[in-house]
Amino acid sequence: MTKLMGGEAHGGFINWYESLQQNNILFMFKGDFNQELVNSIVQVINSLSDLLEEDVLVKSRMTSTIIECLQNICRHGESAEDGSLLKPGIILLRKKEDEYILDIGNSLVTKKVGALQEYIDKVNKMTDEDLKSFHKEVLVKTELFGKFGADLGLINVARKAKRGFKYGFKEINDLYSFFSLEIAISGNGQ
Amino acid sequence: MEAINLKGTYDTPDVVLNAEEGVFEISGRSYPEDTAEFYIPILEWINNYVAQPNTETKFTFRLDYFNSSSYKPFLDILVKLGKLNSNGHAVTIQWYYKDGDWDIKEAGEEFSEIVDVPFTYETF
Repeated sequence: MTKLMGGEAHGGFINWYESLQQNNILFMFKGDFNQELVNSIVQVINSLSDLLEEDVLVKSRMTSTIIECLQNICRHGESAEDGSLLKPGIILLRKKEDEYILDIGNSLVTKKVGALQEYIDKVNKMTDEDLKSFHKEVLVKTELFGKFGADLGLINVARKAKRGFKYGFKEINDLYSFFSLEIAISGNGQ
Repeated sequence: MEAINLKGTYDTPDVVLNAEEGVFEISGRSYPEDTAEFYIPILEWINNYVAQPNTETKFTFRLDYFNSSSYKPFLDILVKLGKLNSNGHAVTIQWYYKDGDWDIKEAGEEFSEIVDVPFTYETF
């Protein structure tokens, strides 16, 4: 651990920095999401030195997964503050051995938690073949430009992930909860 | 028919739909903020085209990546071209994918299982 050499009042920040280093955090952002920000984040992540060394397939999976998750916040995320139209959320990307771990979080109305949890549990139990046929089924039956994006999006992400999702919900207040999702994407040759 | 010639942006693809010259191509990245706003004019163009098609149609998809909301308008285009193909007009889908991007290739193969139109696969 680094020895503090002065300015101890700022020690808390230095601890955060060291924790980010130890956890091999490649990118993080917390704030309000919109499409322009999604574009910028995709550009930044694609130019990370770790990603530049990866195969086309790894880069493609990373990009698709980030776009899907962040557009999901833009479209379906909700602010826990009354009347706010902002889409607050957090994205954290880290590398652990040969895989990339993407953690995504946002708030949503608590009454939607049950259905979302049920859907994730259903997708989590599926094999690759199950996911493939479920994707086709949802694609064929959904309406053009209907509100199907979240369903198809989650299946898409599940197909690119190395294994099922880890997730959690935590109540923020009477109406809203925080939803977090962890996705693992394999690095080269995995 | 008036041609569509859209220059791509960071999140929308290049689109060329030109019946006179026989060029039909969607390429680049497709994850628009508003999928309907972007694809409705394209689907309308396709509707008009299938009413007065060329004898032969080679439609090219050459995508770096596309989001889940783009799947349905793509399928809609393919279904319309599939009907054209079934009605005796020669239609081929040229599905390009980046060399090594098996996910994009597989997406093409899965579309081809749903619609009645031949696909060819090439890398770029």
